[in-house]
Amino acid sequence: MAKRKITRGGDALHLRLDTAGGVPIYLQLIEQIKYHIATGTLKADDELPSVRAVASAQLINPNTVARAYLELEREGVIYKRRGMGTYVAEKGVSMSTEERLNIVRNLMEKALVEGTQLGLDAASLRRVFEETLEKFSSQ
Amino acid sequence: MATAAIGITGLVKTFGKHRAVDGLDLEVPQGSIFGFLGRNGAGKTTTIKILMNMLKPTAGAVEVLGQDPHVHEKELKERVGYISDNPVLYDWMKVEEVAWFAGQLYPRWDQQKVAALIEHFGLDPKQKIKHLSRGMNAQLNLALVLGHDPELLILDEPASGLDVIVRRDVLESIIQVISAEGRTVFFSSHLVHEVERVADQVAIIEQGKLLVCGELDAVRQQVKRVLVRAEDAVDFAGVAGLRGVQGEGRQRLLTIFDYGDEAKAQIEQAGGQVVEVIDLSLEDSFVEHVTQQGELPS
Repeated sequence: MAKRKITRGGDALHLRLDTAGGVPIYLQLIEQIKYHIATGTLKADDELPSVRAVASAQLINPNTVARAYLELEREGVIYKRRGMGTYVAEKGVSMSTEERLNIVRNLMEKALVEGTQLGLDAASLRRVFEETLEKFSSQ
Repeated sequence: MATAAIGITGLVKTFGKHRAVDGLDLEVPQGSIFGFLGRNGAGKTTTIKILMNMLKPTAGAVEVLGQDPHVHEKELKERVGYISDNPVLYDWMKVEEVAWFAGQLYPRWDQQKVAALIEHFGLDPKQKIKHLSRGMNAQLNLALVLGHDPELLILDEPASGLDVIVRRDVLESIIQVISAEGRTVFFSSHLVHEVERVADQVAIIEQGKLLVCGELDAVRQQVKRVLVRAEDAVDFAGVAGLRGVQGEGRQRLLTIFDYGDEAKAQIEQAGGQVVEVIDLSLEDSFVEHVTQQGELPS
């Protein structure tokens, strides 16, 4: 049997989409692209893969990808060039402090919900945070 | 408004005393990937066979691409791509012969595209159909159905019983069709998590009746799980839309349809405190919609 060719242009984005958690796929796309920008994996004026390439690589509806791109464009995180592709905007890279804090805030909230459900009180949670921060900063 | 790709009105199909389809109304918007969900025996295949003029409705009407499939069967065959739940090809032919043969049936046929797909799927053109595995058979059917560039693709349980590579091919083919302007894909499935990735519209049917229909996220979010803290004795039976309670004592997980301010107020009135509202996956939401009928043992 002939060996099949595997082409996955859209994999360049390193997306990890999950349908078990109940978060809409277009939101996961938005969050993960923002994450890649925040961590420097995507830099200003980097080209994003086309809607179709992402859809084929991730096996998701092209409309879903288009919706995420549209939302990111409206927020000024990415921009389109007519007849060309979609690129990371300068603004997307220099996210405001408030926006960056918000990302962390959301993540912390999740950890706190988990901790509360495990029956931990505020003092223990604060201690864990301080300890983790210290360990992280000393690295 | 653009014509719907598929319109179903008051559709009934009975086999003896059994009502396989029981008053179904459905509209599939043009340009959508539409997941037609239901358990085995819910009436999905019967509905699709009526769309393909393979069965006559007992009552009601269907329109495919704006036409009555009974009147315009030949024309629709050229515009609609269809793979049944049990596709049968001439098993004494070779792969390339079937591809040639199918090409004779369609005026709009792209032999190069079919050959490219056969290669892409890793199929041997010289192999006899009867020697193809189930997965290869499915791949060949996909290549053939894409060959005539259908405006509407109808797939009946396309991924059922196939390995992960072939299921990927199925989903890729769906995306390939939909990437062309104005094309529509309508596919039935009981494999809900696969539908969730690719569909933008879904309908859930049970016992031949429509339970819910609409944008995937709206259908999914119609059901919520609400984590509530409350004293042992508190009873939430009066909360609007409540379908079930898991757990006892201080932490309880309520399953609630159309959760909103009203239900939240009722939970608080009953003496509970909402800790978290949890979104469900389509699969969990599907289970809640279907079991709500009192069909499955809890």
